[in-house]
Amino acid sequence: MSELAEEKGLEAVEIPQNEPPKNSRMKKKLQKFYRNSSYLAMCLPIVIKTIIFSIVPMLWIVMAFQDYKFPPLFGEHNVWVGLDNFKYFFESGEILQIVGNTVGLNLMFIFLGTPMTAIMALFMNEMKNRSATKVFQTIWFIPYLISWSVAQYCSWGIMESNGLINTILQRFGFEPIDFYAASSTGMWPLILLLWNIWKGQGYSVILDYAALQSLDTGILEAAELDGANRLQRMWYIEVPHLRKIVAIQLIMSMGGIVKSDFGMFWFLPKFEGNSALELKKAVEVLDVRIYRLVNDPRIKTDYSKATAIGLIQSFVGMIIMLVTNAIVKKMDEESAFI
Amino acid sequence: MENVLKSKQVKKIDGFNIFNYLWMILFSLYCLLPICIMVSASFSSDATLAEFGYTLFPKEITFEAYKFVFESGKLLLRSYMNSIIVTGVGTLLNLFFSAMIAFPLSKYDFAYKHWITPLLLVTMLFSPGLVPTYILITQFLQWKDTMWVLIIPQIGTTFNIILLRTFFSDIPREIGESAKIDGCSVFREFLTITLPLSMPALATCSILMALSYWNDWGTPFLYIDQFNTDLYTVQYLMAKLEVQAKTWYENAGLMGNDEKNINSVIMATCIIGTMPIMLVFLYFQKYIVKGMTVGAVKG
Repeated sequence: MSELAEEKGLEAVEIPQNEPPKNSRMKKKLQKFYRNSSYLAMCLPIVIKTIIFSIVPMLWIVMAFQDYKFPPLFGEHNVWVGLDNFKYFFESGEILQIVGNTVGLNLMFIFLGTPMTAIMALFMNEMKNRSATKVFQTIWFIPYLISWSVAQYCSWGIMESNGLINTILQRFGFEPIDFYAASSTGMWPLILLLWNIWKGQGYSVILDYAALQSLDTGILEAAELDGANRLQRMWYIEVPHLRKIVAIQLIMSMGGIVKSDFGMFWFLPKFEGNSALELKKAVEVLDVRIYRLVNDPRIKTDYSKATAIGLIQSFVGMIIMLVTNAIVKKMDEESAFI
Repeated sequence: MENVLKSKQVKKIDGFNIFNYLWMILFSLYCLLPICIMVSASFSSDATLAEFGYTLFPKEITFEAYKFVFESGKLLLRSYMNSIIVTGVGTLLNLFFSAMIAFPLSKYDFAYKHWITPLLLVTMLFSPGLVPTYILITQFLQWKDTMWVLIIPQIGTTFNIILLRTFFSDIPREIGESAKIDGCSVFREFLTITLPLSMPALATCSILMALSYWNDWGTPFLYIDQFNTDLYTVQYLMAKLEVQAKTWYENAGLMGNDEKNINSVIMATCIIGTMPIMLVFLYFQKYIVKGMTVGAVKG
């Protein structure tokens, strides 16, 4: 006790009353910094990497307001054009169609996919034969592991002129369908949906099913004893349990509504290859257009327009994600993401 | 007792269960169908494919395509090497540095947490887009056609960091504190206590990372030149396979040959190139699912 008092006394002697408090605050900050220095050093590599690869590139966003030709960024040859690149985005009818494709297809994927996934997971949970579910899960997982660069060749085997569908059609005496011709553009939303289901549906079901596994079986047994039937158990116990993960999936996919799975839209309609121009137009999405503006010999390279489109994409995605999050939060406080 | 068992067995074979099995089997067939066609085509020749079309089972089994790939497709071996290097080095670096930042973020006494977490979250919410990153890498860092571009940009994804942080915060804090009292430095605590204690978590995370490195065809698609075959990865080779298979035939001096099997060679290369590793990932399926559910719920 006396030692403590002595220390206090000493401190009082050391720090005069009239010294500005700013200095001691500095000292405290330095102390705090010193105390955390090893923690900070451990954070440093990733912080530097994140700054270089995610913050520094934001500098090049100014390209969206320029007619960018070559570096340096602020050189005289890169003329400032104000909002012209964004005007191109809103005025050209071509771009509006691309936006329509992107949003329309994504909405279809989300609003057919999310409920289907939950229902499939609920049904799967009713299976009492665990080894059978394991086999099914393993099979459903395979397409998720195959990247689109490989899956495109699978799609040839089904949709080419000598593919499986046409082979079957011809055997039964029907006319073969050329899926890559201009005349079949109307079929492509369905084709993309089916391939999208093939690639990701099984995987999403497994995730939802895993979430259901964490449900306490005691509750279900109690409900069964109280006379709840299968549908009631699903609706009143399992669905509320799934709500949180479904909400997060929904928020994430709504945030990505202006983005798309580039691989699917690039490889399936054979964007590099010889499919019809009308088809390419009918399935072109924003990501494909950005990539083409950067790296396609068939159209003029234009970094500025590509940046403008990317900027709108990021911005709209962020806003929609925050809005969806707010709506979910209003409906159910716990399910919100942020 | 016997009655109870019987009633349960009777219950098992109701209409709902049959329906359940039925749609699951149908969906499984739907998942397997395209792969089945690919396997079947790899065992056929182009002549059979042209005559009978793609079928679920090969009409006449030949190993011509596989033989050709093993003889002429030296590029596949090269790409395999590159992919393994990228996946191995990338996963190790990614795991180490991600764990290293996740460790302080899981500590309650780290005072600058509220500075670093938002920095990571911002990258998840708002990305500057493809083109600024492309310009940064090609014109500023000059990393086009290098191995770096395949490894570095993927290091320290926010998702993985949050996942590791979640796992690390489950370790009782008393362990770290008692080590500290015994004079253990923070970094040593990380290396000798936290990492060994969270081996299952690290396994989960490394599988996720390895999968994303292995299946990454987008990065080489943007940053590796089509003619720079020294830097091909397996996935990039798959994306450019149509062109490359033709080149193999040209190099073998067989381009004018009527018996060329471009389509079945493509399918065979896909099988050789992706199936072995896919089986490995399939084996670790449990870890991937665990990682994705923990990350999605707690992220």
